Amino acid sequence: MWSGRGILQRLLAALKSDDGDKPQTAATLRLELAERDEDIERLRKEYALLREQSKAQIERAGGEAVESIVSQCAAPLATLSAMQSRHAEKGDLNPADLLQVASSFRKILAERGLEEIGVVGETQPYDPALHQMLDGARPQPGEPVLIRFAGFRFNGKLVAKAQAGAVKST
Amino acid sequence: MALAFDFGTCNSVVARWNEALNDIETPELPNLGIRYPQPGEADARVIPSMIHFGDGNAPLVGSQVAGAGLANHPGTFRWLKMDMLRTGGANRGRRVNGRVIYPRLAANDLVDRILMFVRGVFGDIDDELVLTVPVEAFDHYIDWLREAAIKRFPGGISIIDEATACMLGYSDEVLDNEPYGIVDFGGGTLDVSIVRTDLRSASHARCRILGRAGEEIGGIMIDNWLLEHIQEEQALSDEDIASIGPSLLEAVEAAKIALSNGSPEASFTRFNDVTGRLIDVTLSAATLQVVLEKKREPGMNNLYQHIVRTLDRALDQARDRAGIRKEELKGIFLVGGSSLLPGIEEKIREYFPGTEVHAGRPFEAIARGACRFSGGVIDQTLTHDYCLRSWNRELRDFELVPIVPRGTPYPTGKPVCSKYIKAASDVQEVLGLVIYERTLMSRPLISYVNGADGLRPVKEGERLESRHKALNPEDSEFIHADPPCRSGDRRFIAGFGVDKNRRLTLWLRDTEPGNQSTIRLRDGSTLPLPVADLPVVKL
Repeated sequence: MWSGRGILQRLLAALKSDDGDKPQTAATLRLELAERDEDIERLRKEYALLREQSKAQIERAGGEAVESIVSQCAAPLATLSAMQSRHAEKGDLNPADLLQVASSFRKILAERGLEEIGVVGETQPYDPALHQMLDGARPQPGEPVLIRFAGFRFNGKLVAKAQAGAVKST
Repeated sequence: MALAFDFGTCNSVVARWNEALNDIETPELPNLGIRYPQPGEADARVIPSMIHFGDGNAPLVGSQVAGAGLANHPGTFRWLKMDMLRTGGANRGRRVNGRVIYPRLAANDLVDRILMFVRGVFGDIDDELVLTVPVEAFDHYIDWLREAAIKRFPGGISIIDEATACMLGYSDEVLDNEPYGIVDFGGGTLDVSIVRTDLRSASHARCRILGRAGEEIGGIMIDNWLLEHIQEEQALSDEDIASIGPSLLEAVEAAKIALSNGSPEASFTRFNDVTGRLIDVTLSAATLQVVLEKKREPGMNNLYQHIVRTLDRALDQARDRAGIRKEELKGIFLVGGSSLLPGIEEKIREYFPGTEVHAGRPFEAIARGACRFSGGVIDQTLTHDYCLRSWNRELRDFELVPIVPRGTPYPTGKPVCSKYIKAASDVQEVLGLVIYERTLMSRPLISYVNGADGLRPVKEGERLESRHKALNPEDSEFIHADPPCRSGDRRFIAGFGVDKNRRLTLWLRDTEPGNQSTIRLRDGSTLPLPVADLPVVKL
């Protein structure tokens, strides 16, 4: 580690002074310099290792992120396949259960930054940046539209626009 | 600082000083380690202490075992530390692929494989290792661990007890000869130790146990309590639990960890394919708290009361043995993953109102503390012998003679040893002083005898082994005699010490007054004798 004892200042002081310890001080400083060289060499190795590790970490990061999503999805996927098999055999599947399992996927993705745009059946003021009209209607921005399918944003970035239709007059 | 290795029952941890970051790190060990979340801190990086012997030549270790789905396979060995501590690992040999494997061999291979990997990554920078052992570990355990590690770290092994390491991992102000408390709440057990520090001790144990108490409660039991709670709340039948219990327990543990790390709630669904029922569970921090507060048989205590009773028992023992009262403790340190459960830290703070409670790094504190220990935070003593080579007339061979023995505190201020330097031949003008670093290791000679509990290790003696290396082979001939020496003359007298930067220092004078002898430095400049406190080489 660096101890910051000011080798240069002490070297200059040793050169200026007239005492008999000058060669010994210089010898001590020489040894300290050699130690600094070793420190620098070690730091170089440390830095090289750090660089190598961060590179490897970046390469692994994508895979790890996917792996963590997959491992969270494993239980609901297993549930789905068990439900599918039971449904084929006994035909007693409860649709509410199925929706419940399906919503686990939404939750897993929401934990990672997925946001829904709009709620199905709700009216929202039309925003061409967020809404896509399904029925050929051409509303003006701000005009109410009916959300038919939710849209998605992932960590702030638009992934899919919400799909909307014209509000039906009653 | 050196690398530190904390060999744990469930998980092991490696810590090292990263000079570029100027901090201790628990490095990422891909394909070997896993991460545990810790509230308010970066994830802890640990290596599951398990090894699997399969069809292939190389066993799987650490996270590779669970990654291959083999954690519960008969060829997988876990909790090896307990085997090594209790019986030396000679118990319960298992037949795996036609050969019998004893826990001792499995533990050896596990430690060796982890350290081989660590050495491969950091060996270029770190060549010394600090190991941690329980305060009251028997010699056979310490000898075994040292032996298992030295193959990969022949440069030097030092040892510190886990209790002191834990304290150093949390605090840089651990006082000598003071009482402290350590609460270790892991997967299977709760252990409370009241210790008194003995930082100047020459042995591996830098503290003494004054009181200790333990209970077999831990994370696994709490998972079962949570499952019971879910069973009651959702009116699950015993058949539900019997048919998908392991899957529910796995989900419960994940939810408990999420809640322990500050999530307000955690939910999961599991489908019972036999009954067609979907079990949809949402656990909140409040639910977990209710479960932990529920009184249970035997004794009708809840978890917090269990902890308090265990603390009481350890403190009673410390009071009876050493007259220590709880108000006198200088600090409390929490380790083990279960210490992150909601309410535990608060309960311990309430129990010790005037004492500082250190928590938050339950997985890594011991390894981090061991790493700090290697950096000399406790004391500054030498861990190797520093020697000169000398001709032994009787043995007619060269031998290493210590000039500064291990255990010497530094800086020494003045010489700790003096020697005459003699010429080997007539008209010798230049005399060399090669400084050797010697590592002495006492290796146990162990045999196994058959007893009532199967094989047990018996220590039959010790064998001393030494390794040495020259520290200044290219810069040794620096004494220039003027006039030249005659063979056998006690021409120079040299004193040796160590300065505050751990450099060997030399005092040297020519025994004949009026001579012009010098020390010649590497750049050709000379120093007239006598010299005092001249640094020669970094130790």
